[in-house]
Amino acid sequence: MTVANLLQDGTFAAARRSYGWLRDHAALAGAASPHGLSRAIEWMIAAWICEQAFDLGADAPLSREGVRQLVLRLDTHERSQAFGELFTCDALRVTLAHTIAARHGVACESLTAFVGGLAASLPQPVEDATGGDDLFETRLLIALAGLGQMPRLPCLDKLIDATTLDLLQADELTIQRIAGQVIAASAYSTCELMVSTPLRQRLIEVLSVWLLDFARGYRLDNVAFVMRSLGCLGESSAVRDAMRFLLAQHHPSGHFGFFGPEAARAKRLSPTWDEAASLQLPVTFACLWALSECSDRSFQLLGAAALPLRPGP
Amino acid sequence: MSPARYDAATGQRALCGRAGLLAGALDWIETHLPAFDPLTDGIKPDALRNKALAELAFMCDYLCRAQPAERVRAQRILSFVAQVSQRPEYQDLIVRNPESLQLYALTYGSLRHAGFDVASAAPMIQGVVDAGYALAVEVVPFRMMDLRHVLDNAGIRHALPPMAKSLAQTMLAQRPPLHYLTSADVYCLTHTIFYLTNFGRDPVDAIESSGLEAYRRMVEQLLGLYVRLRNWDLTAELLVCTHCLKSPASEVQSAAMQALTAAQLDDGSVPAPGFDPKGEDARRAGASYAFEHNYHTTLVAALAAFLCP
Repeated sequence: MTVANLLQDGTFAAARRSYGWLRDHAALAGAASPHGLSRAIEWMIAAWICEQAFDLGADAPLSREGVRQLVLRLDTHERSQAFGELFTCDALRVTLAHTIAARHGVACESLTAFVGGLAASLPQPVEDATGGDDLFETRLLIALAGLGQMPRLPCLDKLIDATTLDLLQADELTIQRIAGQVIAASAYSTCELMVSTPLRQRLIEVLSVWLLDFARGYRLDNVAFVMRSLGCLGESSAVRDAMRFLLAQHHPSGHFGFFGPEAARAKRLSPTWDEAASLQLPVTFACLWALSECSDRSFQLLGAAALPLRPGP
Repeated sequence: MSPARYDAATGQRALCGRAGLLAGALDWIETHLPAFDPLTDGIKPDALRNKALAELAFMCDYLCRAQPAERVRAQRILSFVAQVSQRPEYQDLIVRNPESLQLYALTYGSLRHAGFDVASAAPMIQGVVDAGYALAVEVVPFRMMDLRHVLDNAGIRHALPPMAKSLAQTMLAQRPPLHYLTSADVYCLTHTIFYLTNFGRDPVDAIESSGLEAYRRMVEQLLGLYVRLRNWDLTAELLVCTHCLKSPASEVQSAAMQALTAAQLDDGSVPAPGFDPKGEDARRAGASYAFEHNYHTTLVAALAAFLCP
């Protein structure tokens, strides 16, 4: 059996256990959940990934339930209150939630109005904008949700001009910006990157180092994010190693990460702190997203969200 | 200020890049030569300085051969090492201190290669080997390679296992995932590469090709990581590894050399991880703090400076 097959099998097994964990923690997405709306949407998208990338759950029951709870949460309140909650989430999660709801054929008035308003509020792009536009990512998300025109994808060489040394020693914010630029420039893995061969090679070398550093610091969400970025650059070796690392961090109960020490400390500081909502869910969401896109090059979360619902087994 | 690195008239750096790194490191070494002397008033040698002296001898011998332009300077430093090694108490320690055989053999071998007359030490070292203790000590596989490398280079007879046999038991040969490695593990990897390749003096064709590629990739990623972590000791060791493995030139290597050069202190030394001249440890240790902390990083940075492009 090849390494690739072993990884595929390992990823599938992990996704199956994670799907079970999500089912056991459905309360995180409940309309009455005390946790932020972001968490509910993450739960729904994580379930959607399991269903669409790994063919789990006939007729996508968990993500459908997530959508139903989201409608209950948003549409039973005043529009202003619903918008207030939506403003606490990032544009990516909101547009994905909107698209998944649409794929399930469920109407969520507040969500539709919010995303529609977001799309309408975007000014016309500047004619010669090459991705330096601050609104590029929002335009991209709106376009991938089928609500706007696809912006021109930027050439990475015009966005990234730091030296190798500066990149190697970059701080976390810079790393997130650059890894995010790579992902956005590939329209979330749905398009071929525009990047010169030397910069691609340089980015692969540097991102592999960042990934290693995050792994050693047990920053699994960042490992997953950088891994997706490396996938967009077409790197396979470092991605394969990172997949093995993430799979080794899959907890028998189904979430990603062995966060006992962090959880113990957080609970000492705040006894009501919720490990599942604050740590396990966001990390599991990030890991499932990265593993789904990196183990099966035909699956892209934003691409899949725009496609018709994949039928159950 | 170091004369080699600074122009006396302008106070500006006279040499930059790796030439400046090497010149500064050699200045610092020459200024601190007495601190390398391991012979103390006590019966036992100073363990740290015993190691430092052997490593200094090795570095300078290599420098003589790799950069003939620095031969005079290297010989000057080696003369100091030779003076220490010729002292009766040092000679007797070869027998009295068999647990440090490796260090005496390294000093002896380096001086011998550099043309110093140290023949009188050879039978004593051979005697310690033949006595049966020094090679019977339990050591991890890469340390076994280290011992064999030192004895081979010193021309001492021994019955240690071949390099290939020890290599198969090392961490390097297992090609572990890098995500878990501690810095101590990384030292195991770098040192295994040093001995496997005779510090870059042996051709790499003896290494199986898929292994060689994997080692190069491993070293390159770790090099980037330790530049990121600003750990100049491992940055320098990993740079030396790129030389040992004849790795193709890369931007990460250039960035590493640039960072290492920039990290060099005004006195020419290169700070080790955790070096804090204003900290409590420095206050307690006094004048010896900087030497004890930074000598190794400075030596290995010098090695990287004359071996790496």
